Amino acid sequence: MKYIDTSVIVSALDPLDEKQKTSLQFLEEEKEKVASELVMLELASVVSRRLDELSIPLREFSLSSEQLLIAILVYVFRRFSIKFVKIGGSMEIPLLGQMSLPVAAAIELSAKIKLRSLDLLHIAYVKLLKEKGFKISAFATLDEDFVKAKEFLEKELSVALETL
Amino acid sequence: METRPIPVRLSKEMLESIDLLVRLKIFNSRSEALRKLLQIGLKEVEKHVRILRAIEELFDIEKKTGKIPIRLAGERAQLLKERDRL
Repeated sequence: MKYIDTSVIVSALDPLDEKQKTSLQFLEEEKEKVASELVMLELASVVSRRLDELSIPLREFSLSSEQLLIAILVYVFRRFSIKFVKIGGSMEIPLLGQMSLPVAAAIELSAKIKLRSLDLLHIAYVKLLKEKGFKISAFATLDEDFVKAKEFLEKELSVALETL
Repeated sequence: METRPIPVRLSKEMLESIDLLVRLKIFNSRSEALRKLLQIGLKEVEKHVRILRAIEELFDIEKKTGKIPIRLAGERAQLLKERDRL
């Protein structure tokens, strides 16, 4: 099973991206794929910028922008057979108190790997998904910044970094 | 209203809940309980029917045109640029 970064999904839908074919082929050929709430959020943010043009073929359904956004997100996840997993719960951080599990895990990770906050959150999701029993073997991305997390992913989580 | 029997497999816990509703006379039978509860569930689904039809339409468009109807031109570069800001 592979964790799919938002960059791969967006690339597969981006006709101006030189990696589009690679991303599309990857998403269509890989059997088991998983993505987190963070991927859903990043994709929502990208799609929302294009909502007016994307709404054209769906005008007859008279959807609100929120409904349209949900329809597109669900379509994309189903189209590429990506399993969407949510991580609930909270965790105690000494002296800081209870925090949502992904944020707390990302804060813990920030001491070990130097990454941008969103990247830390993606790695935290991979770690938490593994702890939940998901057999994640690779982290697929088109964002070269994740190279900074390669060693951590491989040594601590036994997850390969797959840069398309 | 014409009704038809359908075989349904329920977990032990679900069946116990249904039987409790029947014992408390909230419903007269298991059949009535299941019918009413299904009605409630289907009303929930109806709220989302337009979204579900739109999703189906996106798949139909792809089938007809052979192209994924979601085009995010230039957005991969934009996404990576935004990540750099954080």
